[in-house]
Amino acid sequence: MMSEQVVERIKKIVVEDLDVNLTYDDLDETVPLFEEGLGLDSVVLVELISFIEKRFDIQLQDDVLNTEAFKNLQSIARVIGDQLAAQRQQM
Amino acid sequence: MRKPNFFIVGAPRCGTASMYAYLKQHPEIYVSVDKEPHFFGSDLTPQPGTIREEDLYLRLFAGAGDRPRLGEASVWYLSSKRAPSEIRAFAPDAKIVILLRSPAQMAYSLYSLYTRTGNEDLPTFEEALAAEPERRRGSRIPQSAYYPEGLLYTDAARYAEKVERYFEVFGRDNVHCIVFDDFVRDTAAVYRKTLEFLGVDPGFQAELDPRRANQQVRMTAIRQLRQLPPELLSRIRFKEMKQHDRGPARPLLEETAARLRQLFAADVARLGSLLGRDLGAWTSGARELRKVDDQALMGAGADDAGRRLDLDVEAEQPALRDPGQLHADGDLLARAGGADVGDVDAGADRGLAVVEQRLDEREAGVLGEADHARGREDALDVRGPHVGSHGVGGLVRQAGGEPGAGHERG
Repeated sequence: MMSEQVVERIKKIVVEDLDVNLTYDDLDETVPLFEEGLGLDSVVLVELISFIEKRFDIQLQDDVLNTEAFKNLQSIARVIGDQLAAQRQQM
Repeated sequence: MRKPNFFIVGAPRCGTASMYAYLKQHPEIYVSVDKEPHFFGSDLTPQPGTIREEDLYLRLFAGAGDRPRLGEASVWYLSSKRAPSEIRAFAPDAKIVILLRSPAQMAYSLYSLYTRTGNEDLPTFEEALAAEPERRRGSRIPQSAYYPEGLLYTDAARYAEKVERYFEVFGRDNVHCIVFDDFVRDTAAVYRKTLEFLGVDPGFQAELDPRRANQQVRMTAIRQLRQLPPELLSRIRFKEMKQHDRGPARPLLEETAARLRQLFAADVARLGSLLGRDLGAWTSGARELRKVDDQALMGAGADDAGRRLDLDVEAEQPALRDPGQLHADGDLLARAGGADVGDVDAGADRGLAVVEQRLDEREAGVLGEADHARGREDALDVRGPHVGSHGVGGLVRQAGGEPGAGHERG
């Protein structure tokens, strides 16, 4: 899956599944997720992670849950891409 | 499951969230991702998201591992007459931490917060103070109020009897009182003393910049949240607060501040005797920090499930939600907004000028967050959907009143 496609799917989750007042126009993949950007909080992020795991059929381990990985939508897409690639290699 | 063994019990708007964020970084300390579960204090109005079930409460500490100190910071425990004995019965060896600031400033800060969260609907602090007698009798409680006791600002800001109660129940050696002015003036020293009190390595160097501290503990909070059962997570979710974008409240008027300083003089003197220190600056006005909104210090910790959970992470700002929906689902309205910065009296000494500068710096670190969300503080307190008789302040909600949902901790 292309990185752009992953980003678009994450955007869809944010806009349509999370209880946040954000639109597609608000979502630039380089905008920070937290207070200095989209204003997401920890609980919302946990919900986002949960949706990502379901929609992409992956498990995000605690060791990938770091500040760098959750800097913005682009970095999350990178984590998802790495995870999907690792799963493909195992198959 | 292990029980918590230290409690930051208040007071609201006195820097508890920042202290929480600093303590959360310590490797020997584990603090609940929900900063303010308000499990104890059976005489307090339950707030939305309050955790009164013991099994759920203990789950908040399930990830503590072998860390020796486990804690939480429910800021209204200080006002509760029952909380001290309830905590003691539950955790006999508990250590208690209390943060206190100038009562006039605390009362004003609490009012300012509540105007943003929906607990308060009167447009000026002066009107809110004037309404206290009626509110004590159960009238003039805003429809959106979620914690009526909190509207009795001058009650909340009287500390002496409350501190004395904790001294009596736990013994003086097990209660550590922190004066807000000291915390602002030398955060590192106050933090170190607190670590010594808790019996953990006092040499640990925590990030003490509120914004960076918040960022530092955020991922920890997220990992903690992921370990919680759905029921607890939803409770914490429910607790999140959003704040109305009303802008800052009008600054505290000098004449009001002077009146309050006089009103609180006897209580402050009594507290000074209890603590063995001169708190005259709180009542003289000559050296009082003005317009210091806790946001300056609280930026770091709010509780949120992170925010106030770690939220405890006071500084985090949640995404805005539709206000109507917020009211409907009982969620928190919004978190702390802008922070007023310390302003020093004309005659302030150099030390206070330094404090002012530090507050400016802190505000700079916090405002961006607060501004963004127009939404979250110190831990805000989530107040319960039902309001009956209240042990604290004796408020009784009038029939027909629909308590609101928003809540902030603080």
